Amino acid sequence: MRLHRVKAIYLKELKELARDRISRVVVLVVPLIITLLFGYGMSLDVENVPFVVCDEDKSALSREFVSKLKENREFFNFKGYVSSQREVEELLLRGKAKFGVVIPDSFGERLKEGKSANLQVLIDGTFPFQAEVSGTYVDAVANSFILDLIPHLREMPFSIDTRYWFNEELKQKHITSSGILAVVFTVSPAIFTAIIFSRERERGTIYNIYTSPVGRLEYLLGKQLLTLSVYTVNVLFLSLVVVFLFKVPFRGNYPFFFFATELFILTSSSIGMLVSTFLRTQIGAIVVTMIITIIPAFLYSGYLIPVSSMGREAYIEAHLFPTLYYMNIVKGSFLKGVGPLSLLKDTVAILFFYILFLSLSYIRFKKRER
Amino acid sequence: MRGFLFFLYKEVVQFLRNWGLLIFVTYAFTLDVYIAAVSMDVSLKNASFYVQDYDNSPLSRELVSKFREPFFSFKGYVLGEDEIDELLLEDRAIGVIRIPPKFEERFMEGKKVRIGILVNGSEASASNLFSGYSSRIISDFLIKELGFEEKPLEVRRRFLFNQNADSTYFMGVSELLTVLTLLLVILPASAVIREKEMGNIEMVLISPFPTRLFFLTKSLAMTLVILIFTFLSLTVVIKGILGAPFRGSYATFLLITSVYAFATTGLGMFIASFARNMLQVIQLTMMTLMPMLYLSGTWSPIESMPKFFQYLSLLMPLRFYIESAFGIIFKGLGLSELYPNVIALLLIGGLLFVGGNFFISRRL
Repeated sequence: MRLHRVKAIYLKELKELARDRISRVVVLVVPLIITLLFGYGMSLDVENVPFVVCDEDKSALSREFVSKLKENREFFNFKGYVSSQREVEELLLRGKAKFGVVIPDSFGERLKEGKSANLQVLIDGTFPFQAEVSGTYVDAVANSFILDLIPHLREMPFSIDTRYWFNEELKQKHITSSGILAVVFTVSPAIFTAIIFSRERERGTIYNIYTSPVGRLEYLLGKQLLTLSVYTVNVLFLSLVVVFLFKVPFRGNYPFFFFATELFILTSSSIGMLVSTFLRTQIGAIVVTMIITIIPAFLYSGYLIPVSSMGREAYIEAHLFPTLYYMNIVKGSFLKGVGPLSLLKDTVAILFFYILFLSLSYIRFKKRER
Repeated sequence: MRGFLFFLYKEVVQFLRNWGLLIFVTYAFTLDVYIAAVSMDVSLKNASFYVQDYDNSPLSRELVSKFREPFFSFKGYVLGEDEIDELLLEDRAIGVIRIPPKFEERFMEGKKVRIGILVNGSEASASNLFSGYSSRIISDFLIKELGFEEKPLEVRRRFLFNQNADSTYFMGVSELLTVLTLLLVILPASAVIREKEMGNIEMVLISPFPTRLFFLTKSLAMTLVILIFTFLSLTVVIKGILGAPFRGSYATFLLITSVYAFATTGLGMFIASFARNMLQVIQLTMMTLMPMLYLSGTWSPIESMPKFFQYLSLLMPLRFYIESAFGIIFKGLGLSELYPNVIALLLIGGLLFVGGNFFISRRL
């Protein structure tokens, strides 16, 4: 392997990118947009849910309960009273409200007599997560309502202390907006690399490479180097965005995080490289790379669903894809504040994947047409 | 007309001959939808937890037994803080329940006991639900132990349209809509770019076939292909394999999908008119599609977004399409209820389609 040939390939690619006005901007803007959207937007915090109440009781107690719900402005958005359960269902059907509380007419009376009362919550189950969380919130309101109401229950002989580790206020946004880095650095270097490899094939300029003295490894590394340098800019920039714009604390070791990220970018870029050795057309290579990377990056990386709770198959599948290990590094560095030592296992795993993908691409990439 | 049909035929054949692409479009509409439906579940399932039981009494064991599957998955007992540290650092558990020494004794005497819930705050979605569920389980259990026959206030939940708030159907359908949108933008755009990159476009420009009609045919051909795949995915995967209820009518669904398809292929044409190569097509698509997917309420509910995003979402065709699609599939709504969405789709879509197709023939 000759370094000057790697450099030649790299410079050629760099020039090509620099001359391509739209791509030049876009490779830097797309990761930013994705990060911004998820950082600001991908909110699992359920807020401002519109609801209605059907109060058949109209007693002081039922009104008090409703006012408890209304007080919770952050979570609930009171849309008004309706007169029947049918009307609640109608509003849910038309999407005007997401849930409705039906208070039966015996509500106040039974509570006063110390009997057990009940109320019904009708929830639009179309969006399951939101539905589930809304239900839990109503439960919480009902619990605190009853604790306030029954005097001898007030001195409960127990208390529950909830403590959140790594994320004291349990801001879901901290998790989703730092974790998105792992998704972005899986998907976009892979696609970018798939494009710069398959483009040459589709245009036929690959024949220049076939007839040149450039070795296979030199060619692969030269192109990877381009991906690496483009995304290095993104790494620096996006970590600033996460820390300063999203206000996610960075608690780990930055130099370590930076190098681990660079290694991970090489790994995900070799996924795109490997895919493009199998497919002839650009669109094919791109679509396949997207499919191979996007799902594991979102689903099997611990980004939205904890890996520890996964079923057996999903658990194994998650460990067969490098994003999970990088996600551990992201979470460790941002939320948990652990250093290189605790994350050594993950770094080694990523290195293993890189060597694996690179060697497979090396084997697959032949300097002649089949 | 013959020329038009011929071009339509040519596009479809060209698509079918591209094996790699064909296989992956099939994958996207079938296996991908299936995988997302089965595995993308943000409700609390099998949440791994450990118990730090300093009491080890019948009462404490009974309390632990209340943490049941399928919501929780008991992994064992731990002692000592270091072990908890390690568990949570390595993400091996969502949380730990801590029961204090002399829990049973003190509780029976009516003295105050403090039960701890330690939650791993680095796990999205599950951490929130974990703390909510566990504190409900603990307080329900202890209130009952205090001698209350029934809970003083029973909240009965009923989920409409999707009993059990099953996320399988929801994820399946939203993945289908995402795949559909992605391909609706990329396929026509790449069909145009291919001609551009190969230089075939000049042939079309000098041919007697009107250029505008040429692009129209491309949009139409890809729409046709995608509509067929959508129908298959809906009947075979979503209804057949996943067993989701399909309460509305297929005709309405396909009608609204074609209106939506026109809007989206128009977007593809806009992109194709700017882009010179595939790299640009992909990047521009991602740049427009990601915000579109996000703002339309697939990922997080529109009410929970900042006000500015809520207004912006009114410009997204996908928003109206999603509302209609979920309405048809889960709620069995028909055109008479959905007409405002259809009108919005027609307005935005018409503008995009006419704009996109006009723009691209102007730019060449």
